[in-house]
Amino acid sequence: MRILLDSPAAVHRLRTMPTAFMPMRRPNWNDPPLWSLPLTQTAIVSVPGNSVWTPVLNVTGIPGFIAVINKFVLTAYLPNALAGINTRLIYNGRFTDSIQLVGSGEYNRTTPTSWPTHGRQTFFALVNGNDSVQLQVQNTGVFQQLILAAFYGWYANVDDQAERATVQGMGDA
Amino acid sequence: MPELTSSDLQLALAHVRKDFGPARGISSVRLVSVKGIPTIVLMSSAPGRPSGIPSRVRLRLKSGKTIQVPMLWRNSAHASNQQMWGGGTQVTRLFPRLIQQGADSQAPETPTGQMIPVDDADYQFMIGARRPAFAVPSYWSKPFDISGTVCIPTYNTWVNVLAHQTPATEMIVLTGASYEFNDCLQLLDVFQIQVQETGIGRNAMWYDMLAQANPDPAFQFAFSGHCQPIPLTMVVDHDQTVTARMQVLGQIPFSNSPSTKLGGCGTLYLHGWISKLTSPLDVGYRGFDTGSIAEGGDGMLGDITPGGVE
Repeated sequence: MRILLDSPAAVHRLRTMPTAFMPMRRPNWNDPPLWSLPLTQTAIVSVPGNSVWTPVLNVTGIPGFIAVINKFVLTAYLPNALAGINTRLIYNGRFTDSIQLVGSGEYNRTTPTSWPTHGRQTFFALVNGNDSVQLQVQNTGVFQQLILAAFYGWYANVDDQAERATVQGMGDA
Repeated sequence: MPELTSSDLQLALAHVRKDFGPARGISSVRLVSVKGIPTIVLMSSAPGRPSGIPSRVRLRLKSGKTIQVPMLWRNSAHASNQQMWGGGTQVTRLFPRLIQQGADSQAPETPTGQMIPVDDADYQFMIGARRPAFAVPSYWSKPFDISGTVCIPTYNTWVNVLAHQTPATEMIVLTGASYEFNDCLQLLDVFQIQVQETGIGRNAMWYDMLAQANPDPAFQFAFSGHCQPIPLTMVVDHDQTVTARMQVLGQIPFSNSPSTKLGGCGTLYLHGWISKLTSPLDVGYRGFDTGSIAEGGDGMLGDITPGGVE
């Protein structure tokens, strides 16, 4: 049904309709859709001293879905133990130049000594079906460190053709 | 196709509601648009299309012309991906509001039962809109917080901790999980939690660790506590079962085997809300927005005959 609001009479008709359907949705990368799947992934990894870059967390897309990561945690077990820890994010095998995870930084820890960590909404990444996001850590210190990291979000189905086109257009940018 | 007015469509809808209403078990009559074609959708809980419902109705316009409007039926109890595309949330009324022109302006007196006269652009729309029940709790939602406790006799062994089946008329939205352990873990012991919806291959599975010996179990673990549960985004549809299990791996590096004795208990708490899919007032199906609606690609309306309207 197409109603053109090109005249006062048309406006009056729409205004006086007793019922109407008004879809009010946020897109599936803002809200998990009904047919979404959970994405709750954590890692507790012991990284030896003077290490090479070590993968800690890896999220891979599922065909037909996009992985939406909207919360992020990165910390180490001991207080201030992140000194000497370098972190980087690899998106499809490449560095993400828009995300700089500064060394010696705590991410979403309330205080350096309190637990649990808090997955605040400080992070956003879309992972299409064939893509991947990997968090890597390098320990330049002498002692081994216990690294804790988490990605939170959801896998959103994109079986809707119109929305898929939109999503892929964004993901390829 | 003749030009349709909203009053034409509303008149047709009123007639259809009168003729095919509750007397034939029809719980809902709606007017939707498919590729610009007005289409009437009847919903009932009957397993098949009720008898006596034609595939289309003839609609006589005020202009004297006649068109045929397709009439589709769908089973309100069935909730497959195709049939749950119930369109948008329903706006029951559109309220014209007077735009205040200044301090002296006053809203006109509106006689009861009469429409406000509209003859210029002094009014603006105020539209009530709801977000879908899986994104935010609906009015009829209730808190959903369940727990299960299980004894964990050995390391490196999955034990089922809880299972909960969603009632036939409700839907559960999980938002987080937290846990406690009793006489079970030592400091730095790592454990795994898995939450699964029956029949869904992709589960939520994560590691956590006893990070500090705090006497308050809300502040013991690395990623979750009762005050700030670990984020868990999960929708458990009606009649589906959510199950959860856990296993304790011990300290890194994991050297325990399934034969290594452990003992103690673990408790898992799931948090979220439970939404009713039916209204407790009219016990009728209350459709809700289930996702994107491609232009003309509404799966619920897939059985429409293209070009079937004059």
